[in-house]
Amino acid sequence: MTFALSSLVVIPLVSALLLALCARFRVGLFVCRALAALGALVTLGVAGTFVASFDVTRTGFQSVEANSWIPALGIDFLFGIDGLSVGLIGAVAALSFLIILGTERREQGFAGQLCLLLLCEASALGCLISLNLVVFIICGEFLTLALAAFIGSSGRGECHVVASRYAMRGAVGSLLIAVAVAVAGVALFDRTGIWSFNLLAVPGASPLAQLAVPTESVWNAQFLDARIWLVALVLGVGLRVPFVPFHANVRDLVACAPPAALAWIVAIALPIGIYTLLRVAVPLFPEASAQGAPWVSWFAVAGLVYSVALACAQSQLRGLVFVTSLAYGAFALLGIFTFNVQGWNGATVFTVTHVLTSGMLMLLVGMLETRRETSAIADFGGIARPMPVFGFFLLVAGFAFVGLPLFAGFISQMLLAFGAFLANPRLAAVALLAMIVLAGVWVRSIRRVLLGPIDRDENRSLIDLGVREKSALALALLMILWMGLAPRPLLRRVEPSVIETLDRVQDVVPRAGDLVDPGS
Amino acid sequence: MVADGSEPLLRWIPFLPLLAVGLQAVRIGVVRRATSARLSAVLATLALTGSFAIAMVCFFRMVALPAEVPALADVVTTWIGTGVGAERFTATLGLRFDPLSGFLVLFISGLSLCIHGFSVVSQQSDRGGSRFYAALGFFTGGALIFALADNLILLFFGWQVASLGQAALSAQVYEERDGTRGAAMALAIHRAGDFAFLLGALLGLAALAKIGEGTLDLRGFVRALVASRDALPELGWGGGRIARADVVAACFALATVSRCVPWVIARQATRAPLEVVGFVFAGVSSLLGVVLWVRFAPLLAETGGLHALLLWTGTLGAFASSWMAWAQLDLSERLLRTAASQRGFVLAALGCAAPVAALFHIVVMTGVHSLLFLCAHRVAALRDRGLDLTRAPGLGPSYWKLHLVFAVGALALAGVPPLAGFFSRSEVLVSLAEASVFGSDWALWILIATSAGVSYITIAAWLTLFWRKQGAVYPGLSESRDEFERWQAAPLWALATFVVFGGLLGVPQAIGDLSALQMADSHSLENLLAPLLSPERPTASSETVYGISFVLLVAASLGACLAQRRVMSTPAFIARIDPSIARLRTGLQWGPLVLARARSSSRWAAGYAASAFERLDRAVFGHRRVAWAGSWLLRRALGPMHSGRLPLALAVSLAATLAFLWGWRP
Repeated sequence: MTFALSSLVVIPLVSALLLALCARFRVGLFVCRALAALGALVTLGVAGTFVASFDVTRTGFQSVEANSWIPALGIDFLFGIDGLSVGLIGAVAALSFLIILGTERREQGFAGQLCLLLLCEASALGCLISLNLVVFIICGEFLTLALAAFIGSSGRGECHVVASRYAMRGAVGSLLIAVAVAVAGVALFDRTGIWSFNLLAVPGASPLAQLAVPTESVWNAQFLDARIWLVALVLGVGLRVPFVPFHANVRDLVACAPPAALAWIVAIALPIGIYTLLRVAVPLFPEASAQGAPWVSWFAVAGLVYSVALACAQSQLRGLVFVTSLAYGAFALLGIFTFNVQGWNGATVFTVTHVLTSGMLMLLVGMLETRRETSAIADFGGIARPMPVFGFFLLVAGFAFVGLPLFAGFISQMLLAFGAFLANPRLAAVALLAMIVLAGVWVRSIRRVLLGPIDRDENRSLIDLGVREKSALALALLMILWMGLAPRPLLRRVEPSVIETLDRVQDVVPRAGDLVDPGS
Repeated sequence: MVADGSEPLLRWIPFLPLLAVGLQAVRIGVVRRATSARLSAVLATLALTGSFAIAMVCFFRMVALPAEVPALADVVTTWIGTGVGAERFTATLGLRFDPLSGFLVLFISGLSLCIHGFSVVSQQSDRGGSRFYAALGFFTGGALIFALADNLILLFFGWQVASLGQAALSAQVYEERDGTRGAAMALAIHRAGDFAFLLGALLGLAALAKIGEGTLDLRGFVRALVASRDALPELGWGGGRIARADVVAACFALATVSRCVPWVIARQATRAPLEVVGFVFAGVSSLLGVVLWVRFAPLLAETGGLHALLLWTGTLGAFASSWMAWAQLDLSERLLRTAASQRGFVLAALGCAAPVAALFHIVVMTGVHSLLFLCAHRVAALRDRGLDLTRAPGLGPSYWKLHLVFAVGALALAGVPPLAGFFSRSEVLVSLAEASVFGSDWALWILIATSAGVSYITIAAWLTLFWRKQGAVYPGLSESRDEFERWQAAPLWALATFVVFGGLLGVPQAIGDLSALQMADSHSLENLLAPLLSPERPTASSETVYGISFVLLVAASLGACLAQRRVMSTPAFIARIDPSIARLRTGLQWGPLVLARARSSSRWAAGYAASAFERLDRAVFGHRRVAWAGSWLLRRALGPMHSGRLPLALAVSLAATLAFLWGWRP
């Protein structure tokens, strides 16, 4: 059976609309969850067929679907997948299903939250399959708005303020990305006289991705240097992800956002940010990227070290997952700007593995909060005794998150580290040390939560995971294990696209080993 | 290079224990049945028996291989293959059974089988028996993978799995803080080793990739690093004076040290079950570190300064640990310190570039300490968990079999010939005598004195426990209890046999040649047995060392016997010397007290630093600061516009962008 790629957006969108109707007519919560799970499951099935039928022997985009929207401006509904996006599509669809399955039912606003979750899924998948950068930005903005609405729906503290701040930051980030993309579009127009924001050539238009905006100004004015627009793009992604030092809202999000929303921000918004850099930033501004690579690498390592320090200071499990994800995001940023196949493979695989590992951890945190209304590490201790199954999953998910071999996280981290060592051993050594410290922080936190004596009476009567929760976590664990034990299917899908993109980029980029430190 | 012989059975050697762990995890975690420890024990023991049997089969098949085939190999699948050109690397899930791996696999699985067999009875009454077997199986599986790994990634995997298994055994009594802190310490120390391991591997790999020699194959990696030592690109560290190969070697040396640090063992094993302390904490954990050194020996041979550092770390660690052992009044605590002391010997051997002696000593000491800790477990069981040496009842007359096996272990640890401990320790001392590392002469004398101290301590413990007259009966002692419960005798006899015949058969030369053979890729039975049949003549220095250590041993033994005799015969003497001994012991405990205070202070400082950092982060990157920085930037960028007109500024920017998009140019 063949599906149109746009069905990945349409199915969750239709499910969301149906759920909105259910919420309006106050249908039972069980039916709402079943409907949402069905929509997510069908989407997962469709995504699975695309992943399975992806031809690893071909390079370029596959399953392309083109529909015109505003031809005068070169804005089309142009969808397609390649190695950079195919794994992430599968992971996003899988995690959406798991979040819907694993999220605890709330009496108020549950149907609305499920509806928002499906909207998030539709937006994220729209981002990933879109080959037109304007549609890509619009989907990204929809994702931000849906997440902001989700955050606002929690009812915790000043959640509305936090949600509006999140939306504002996302909007500023999107604006910066939009401006950079617009500049590239204008540059293409100046050269060819054709408006196009497509990454793939369609009749009557040139692909934007092959433009490769040169460093020197296309308009012979200093302030329009391509490096400025690259910085704008990276800043935009940094604001949306967020990267350090744009992490001011992390504290608020940790305090207010519901666990499912946090899972989305950490496990899906962050990998989509990395994907944006892989898909948009470097291919559009390759020369500027190469020139700025040493600076970005230093920035990434500084962000990584700072994130690790932040992780040491976290007192809540949800904050720890969030900040650790920031650190991993910085590590992936370092991998991207190594400009070698290992680093790019690592960054791309990271987008897939991080979805599952951090998503599973956030699910676990949500399950804990459902029982205790807190995720403060100091409030727990010894809960492996009343909750052995939870303890088992937390232990395994934690180890997978910090990159124990044979789990999915190890593959991406090893590739990123190897890429970094090929490009700059000194920076890579610092990054590796930070990652090891981060793993130590995780082990310490897991120990404090699971082991030791039970100091608080509330923890003695904690109820272990139910069948639904176990099923969601077991599925996530199976995928993590499968990717760790047999990463070749994923790598075979990823690598041709990575090599193709890097080949295009490296026409104007020096060899990775020739990159120099900014100080020298 | 000649290809290895294919042997698909190899994968089952580490897989069977891990499979048993997986089944137990499913039983404990998912099915959540009321798990009986006995079923877990049977499952784990059967799995390990299978593993041991397969290892035996593989060993004999390896011996029967034609001379031109170097070893057995089993490539399960290609795990990762990525990159292009010289930077491409491929990692297989592949195992290799060469003479050294074969010996290690037989030793680890055999010893683990003994521990499993012994624990079938002891653990079934304890809470968490299933967890115990899962953790032990995990550790054993990891160690077996490490021993068989043929590439760096699998080696690292085995290294980490064994580390996690060790931590899980530390935290066996996880409801108590001591257990979890022991696990945390084990993990923290091992994380340092992990970092060093990864740093060394990645630095080496990246350098080799740059010169087109990149490989993850273990032997290929070491060979290529040694062969192209001078051709490797510089790191630029230390003003270019530090060669990359030296950094890689130092990293692997540090990884080894992380498994052999003498003074952490007592803390790591505080709450671990007594049955596994000797096998895991005092033995195989360090053995893995030494094996890592042996695997990288060609690379590590040329790092002089590092050797001196290791030699002195080991020497001082051994000396301090032996004195700490003397201060202990609990048998298990005393044995833990003697184990730490033997780790110091191992480090010293590595420091004088004698990995074979280190390997031999740690193998023998693993057996000896396993035996002694199993005996300690029986003693504790007979005395209702009491191991206090000051309340010794003199178990000897009633429990002669236990007495005999404990005596074998204690005398081997003391270094009494012809038991294996005498040979292994003497090998270390001879290596030291022949070494030309900085301060090796002084280190030799310190270690000889330490040997005498260990001999005294061990013999005194043995005499106290078993020879003392049964005057005041220990309160918990029950005369009616069986000496060994079912199945517990066989593992103890097997271990005692190993300790006795390991020395008699000349294991030192055998293992020495095994490791040499591993490097030379030769495995014929004649070669394996040749060192046993015709051991080398001892050199002049070895004769001297053997002589001195023997004399000191006799003196220490006599001293222990005399002291024990006086202790036994004159209670007034005890009353007189007891306060002074107590004072001395208090003095010896001063070091740990300072360390404990330093630890608590550092914990407090870390907490304070974390909260201060959090406040700093909030101050620097909080919303107000960011908003202020944003408005400042806007003011600067937009010139005369007042920050109060921010919406206007944004609107103008948006309009300008739109106009720009539609073709307007400034």
